[in-house]
Amino acid sequence: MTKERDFDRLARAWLEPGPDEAPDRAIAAVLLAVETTPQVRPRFRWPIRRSINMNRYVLAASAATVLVVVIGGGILINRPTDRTGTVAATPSPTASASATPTAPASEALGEPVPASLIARWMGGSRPTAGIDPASGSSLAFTSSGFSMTPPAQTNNPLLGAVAASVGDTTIRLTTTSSREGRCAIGDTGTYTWSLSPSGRTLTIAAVADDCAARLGAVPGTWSKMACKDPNDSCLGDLEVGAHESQFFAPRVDPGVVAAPEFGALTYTVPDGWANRADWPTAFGLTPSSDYVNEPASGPPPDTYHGIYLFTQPAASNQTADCNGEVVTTTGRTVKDLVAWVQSRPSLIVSDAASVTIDGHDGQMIDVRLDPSSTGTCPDVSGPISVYLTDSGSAADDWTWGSQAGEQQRLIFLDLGDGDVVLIGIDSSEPDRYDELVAQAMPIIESFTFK
Amino acid sequence: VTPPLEGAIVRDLVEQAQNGDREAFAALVAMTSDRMYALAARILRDGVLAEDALQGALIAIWRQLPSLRDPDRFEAWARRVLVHACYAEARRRRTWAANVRVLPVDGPVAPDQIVSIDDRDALERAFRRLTVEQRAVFVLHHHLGLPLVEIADAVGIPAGTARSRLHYATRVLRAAVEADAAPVAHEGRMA
Repeated sequence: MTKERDFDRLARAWLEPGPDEAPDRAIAAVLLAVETTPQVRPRFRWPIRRSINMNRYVLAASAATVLVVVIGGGILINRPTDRTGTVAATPSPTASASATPTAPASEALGEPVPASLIARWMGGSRPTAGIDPASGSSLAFTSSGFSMTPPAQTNNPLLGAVAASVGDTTIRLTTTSSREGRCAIGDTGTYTWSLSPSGRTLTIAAVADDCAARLGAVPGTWSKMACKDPNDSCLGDLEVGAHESQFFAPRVDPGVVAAPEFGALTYTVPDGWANRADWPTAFGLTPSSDYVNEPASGPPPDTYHGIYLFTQPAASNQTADCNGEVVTTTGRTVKDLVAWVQSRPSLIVSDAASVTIDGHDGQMIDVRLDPSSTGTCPDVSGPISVYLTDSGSAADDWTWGSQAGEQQRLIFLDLGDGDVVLIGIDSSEPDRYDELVAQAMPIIESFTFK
Repeated sequence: VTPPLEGAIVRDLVEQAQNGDREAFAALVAMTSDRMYALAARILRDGVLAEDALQGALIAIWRQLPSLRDPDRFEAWARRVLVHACYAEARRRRTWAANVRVLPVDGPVAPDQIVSIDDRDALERAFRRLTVEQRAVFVLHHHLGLPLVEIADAVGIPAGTARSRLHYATRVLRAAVEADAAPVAHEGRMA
């Protein structure tokens, strides 16, 4: 009878038969794909150099490849190359050029696409074969081309077409290659479009399209991706209202390469805010008045002002290289992490206050560096205390610390199932800190996590 | 245990592949893809899904390889990427549990002396009711024979979580087999 059986033996025997040889076609497809697939190459090979600017604290974000820099809390993305683990992110918009037209496109040419449309635009899930419904999608217009892509796969355009303006607010899309098999050569679609007053929200409506796949995917509302960092796909300056993240993945296990998950974070902003980073392990919002002065390489040294989110925080020792070293004896619960920060002799930390955001419980503390602190880090002038890092063991990581003059509010939020997200309000300008907190807290309170 | 020579070869291949050598990567694929496919097929119980997971994982491995800190950990790292590719594949095909395809079987399908056809059916049905995360832990333990610590590392979860997932999966599958056996015993008594 079953009870007498050795269940382990039974399980092994049950699992034993089955396919043990990878299909040749699968391997051939992989090797073919690899021929044209670039590797994600960190800017610096391990051991990673953490600091690239004076007083900037580096952090290399997550599984994918992001190098994020946090100084005291200030974040800045530093040359990621991609974030999905499956495809390269090519910064500039690409369109039908990659579709290798097999029929003359001249007939489809008309007036150039209006300059206001020439950009990459982020949308939600679209019923397009080749795009994971969970990852969202983006479309791109060039002056004469159109394509859709998965969010981080701009070298993998789908539905490529020649685009032409055929009226003030009408666009014609003509397929010139059937390589993808989604539309036939000569398939033509006509769409009307409108832009919000800011030019950041594009609404497309179908008039007609011979290609059903395109007809099902293109209409709708799209948000302009105007990230200053050419390797990031953040939105840049935001429209007033609700928005969704495209890459941030707060529930992905530490050290795991995250796939884009559209809408893992939703947030609502008033006028004058920008989304300055959207990576699997890091997300950033900052006032537009600060973002406008920010070069593509990130905020100027010693300048931190905004809201920062990091996934899967862990207690960190401050090592000589300040690369972050997980304190394995400290847990990763909200309570453990708050206790860890409060116990740092280099910090002045407030009592913890309970918070609830999107139904998730958390604790909030205010943090600043103790004036008597003497900790230092390479390439950082002045004292600094490093006390948090990521929990991951894979390629990339981040660290968080406090510098002299910096003021921070940290919220550790328990998302359940062992996932904790760190939300930080951080300013290197003490005179603006209270104003930042007053602006940031309503935004943080609007957060929802999918 | 990986023999030292093989370990050295793998390390060399990984380092070459990290520098963009596609032939070295092809050699790594040849060395590891069968094991990876076998693992994916047992977690997903579907050859087509397993093939997709394998492809996704191998391309992700190629892309992420320069970021692998310790080439000696290639196999464990690749296994983790694969397990998560299985998660992604399962999520992508959320209908899979309701649209089950039979797992292709290369080996003998005749009932053996350990697992009866009824047991197999019961295990298959119960296995499909598990989450893909629970399945992964169960397969890593019972098919690959990994201890919990290595399973935790392979999946990227605390050992306690791996233990609880394994415990739950075992309990469900054991109960299924026992429930399947129960009517037989009942009939026996009736007889």
